[in-house]
Amino acid sequence: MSADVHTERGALADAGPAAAEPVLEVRNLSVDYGFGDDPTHVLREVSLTLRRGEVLGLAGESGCGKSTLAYAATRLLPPPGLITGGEVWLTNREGTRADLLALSDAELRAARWRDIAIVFQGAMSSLNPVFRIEKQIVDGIVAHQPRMRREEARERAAELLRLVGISADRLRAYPHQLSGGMRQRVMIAMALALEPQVLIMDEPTTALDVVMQRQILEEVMELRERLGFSVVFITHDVSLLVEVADRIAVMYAGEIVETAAARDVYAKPRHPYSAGLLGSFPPLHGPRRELTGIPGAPPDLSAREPGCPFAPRCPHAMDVCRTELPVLGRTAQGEDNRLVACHLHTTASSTEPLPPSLSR
Amino acid sequence: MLAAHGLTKHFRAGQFRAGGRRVSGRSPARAIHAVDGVDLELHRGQVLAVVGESGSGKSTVARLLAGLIPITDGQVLLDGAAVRLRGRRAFRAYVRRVQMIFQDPFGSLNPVHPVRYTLTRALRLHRRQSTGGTLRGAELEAALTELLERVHLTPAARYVDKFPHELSGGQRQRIAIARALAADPEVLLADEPISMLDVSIRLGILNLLADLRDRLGIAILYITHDIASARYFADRTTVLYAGQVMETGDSESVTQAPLHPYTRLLVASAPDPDDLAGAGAAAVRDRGTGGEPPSLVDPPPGCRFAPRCPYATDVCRTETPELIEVTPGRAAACWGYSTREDRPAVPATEGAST
Ligand SMILES: Nc1ncnc2c1ncn2[C@@H]1O[C@H](COP(=O)(O)OP(=O)(O)OP(=O)(O)O)[C@@H](O)[C@H]1O
Ligand SMILES: Nc1ncnc2c1ncn2[C@@H]1O[C@H](COP(=O)(O)OP(=O)(O)OP(=O)(O)O)[C@@H](O)[C@H]1O
Ligand code: SF4
Ligand code: SF4
Ligand SMILES: [Mg+2]
Ligand SMILES: [Mg+2]
Repeated sequence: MSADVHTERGALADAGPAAAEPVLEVRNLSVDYGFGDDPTHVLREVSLTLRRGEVLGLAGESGCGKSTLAYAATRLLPPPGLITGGEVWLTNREGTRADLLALSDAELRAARWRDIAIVFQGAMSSLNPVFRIEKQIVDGIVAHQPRMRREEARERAAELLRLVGISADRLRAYPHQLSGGMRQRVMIAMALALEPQVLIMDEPTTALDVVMQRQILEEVMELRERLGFSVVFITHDVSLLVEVADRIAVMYAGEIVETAAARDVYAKPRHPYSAGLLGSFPPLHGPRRELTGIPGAPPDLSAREPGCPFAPRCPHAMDVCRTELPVLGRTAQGEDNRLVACHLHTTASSTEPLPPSLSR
Repeated sequence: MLAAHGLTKHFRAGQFRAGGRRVSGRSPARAIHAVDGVDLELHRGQVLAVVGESGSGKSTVARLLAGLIPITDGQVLLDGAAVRLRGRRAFRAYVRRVQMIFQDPFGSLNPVHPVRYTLTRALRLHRRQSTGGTLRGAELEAALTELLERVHLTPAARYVDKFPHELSGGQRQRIAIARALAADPEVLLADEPISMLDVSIRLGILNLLADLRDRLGIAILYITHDIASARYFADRTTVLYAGQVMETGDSESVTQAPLHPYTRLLVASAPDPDDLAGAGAAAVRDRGTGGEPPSLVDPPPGCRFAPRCPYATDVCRTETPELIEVTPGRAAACWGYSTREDRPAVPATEGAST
């Protein structure tokens, strides 16, 4: 199944449900912040494939570059952010493939929202404070479906709100009259309004309780089945991802360090960082357990050292880790459908096996 | 330390339409009952978690306690004395003791000011009042560095001159926490302070807050929708639904042996990676309780959870249950725990997984 794992850096396709065709392919995307001689390299040659109908979870530490990836892939990155390399291939419903980064501004505007929609992190405060919710949703709908009458659009707006669990009597509210989670749900409703084929959600449910999260995600899943769209779901909440995502990509310091089927990341982590993440969960059920966390601080992206960015915090760091950057490749176990960027997996042998935490 | 009795907040709802049509007649009487008769107590050196679904009134409770919006009814007491915030001075003095961390780090940091400005102001607000002198130079730098390190933004020099838009969501959230800590408050009202942080940093921040609680004895109100973190971090937990307290007790019991049907729903639907069959989701569906929270505009009498409660009876739909002490220190607002004859049959124990 994973015959599409190439070893050469860059052309690397993530292993995934090989059956579905790719909708969004990010290839070697690099992003810097700051111009001049000393920019910060935030993303370094990130590659990622989203297949049709798939929910891809993107997890990783605060500040590792998740939002940057979302912005760059949709070409919404504000200055001083600069895409320094890479491609983002989008296959639209008609089967046409285009590199978003190479489109003209007009072409891009058309593609955005119709083909690809994004719910921003901080959506809570991105509603316009001076307009009622209704007007904002209706304007959004009408702008992209000019043939729809406002009256119709208003009905649609009410329906969308119900979809995300807000009663229609809140349509006339101003944003400040809604709770944080309600504002997030309004933003989700606006994104769904356009029935895009790729939906990128950047921490869309941080203010929502689990009951509501589940309800909305089920709604999204249902739409996914009906409309066949795909979702990139960005969150730090790995426990949520394990449940809702088909595949998870774990990011660290602007690089993808592991990708695998959602349940495998949790049950059988292969990268020491993924393993550490899972040791930091407070479990709700079962006995209280000591939470280990991950010692040390995230790396300074503006002063990168050679080698593996996780080395200063890695309990298994070896000499080679401090000099050579590990690239995504197969696991030592040779598993299908998963990739990891860690020297342990390339040097593991029968004499020096993987540490137990990574060989479950 | 800080207590609230019968805390109530009604927002005017005159401008809303019901079902898309403007409400006929005069409507000034219509109100959104965001918070209705909430009692809670914050104790020195303790953490009280407030959990509840979106729109249940958690932020409104915090804003009322912080004195940011006027109270409709009820009382807030600081050290036993009723809080009255007339005028800037009274408010300033109150804010020095009671600090709030806002839910939304994207909206609560002023975009035109760098981190240094925001934190310096907060530090000075506190220092000027306590030591007289204004913080400057090396002393100020040291204080800024220490603050940033506390919230795991290290090295501090990397962050101190950044503007909010140059920071990631989680980094902004930590600046908001640092700003509140700068004032060295006695009471901290933390509204979803770690919602955008990944687990490892989350743990660091919670440990930091736990340490402040233990070392400096500050009282913390911890608002969260993550009931697992309430279990780990909070001494006591209060569950809010539709503006009312449903259950309260020590965190371990509330999360491990919830009494109120709503708390059971919350606990059952928490994501549990060890249970990939998705029993949580199934539990929500099976009970048919995945429905909508009630409209808070002129809510009907009776238990507000009744429309979603699998045990609801006629009593529940007509009479509002008070908090009933079930065991010492634990109370639930549910008729199932009353002694009345016609009480609904709420099972005594129901594991989170049944
Ligand atoms: N305009 C900017 N100028 C300089 N650095 C920036 C800018 N925007 C972001 N950064 C830095 O780039 C890094 C990646 O930011 P990004 O917002 O992508 O992180 P994230 O993974 O989304 O984190 P979070 O989970 O906290 O939202 C961060 O360390 C941040 O400080
Ligand atoms: N200024 C306002 N005017 C009218 N209604 C308001 C106002 N502020 C809040 N509300 C309403 O009060 C209710 C409670 O809001 P609150 O912000 O306290 O919820 P919350 O529990 O913090 O929710 P979340 O978890 O989504 O942040 C909501 O229905 C909200 O719409
Ligand atoms: S490459 Fe080395 S330092 Fe990096 S995660 Fe693997 S073992 Fe640890
Ligand atoms: S009072 Fe009745 S409706 Fe309310 S929670 Fe108890 S059993 Fe359910
Ligand atoms: Mg982000
Ligand atoms: Mg809130």
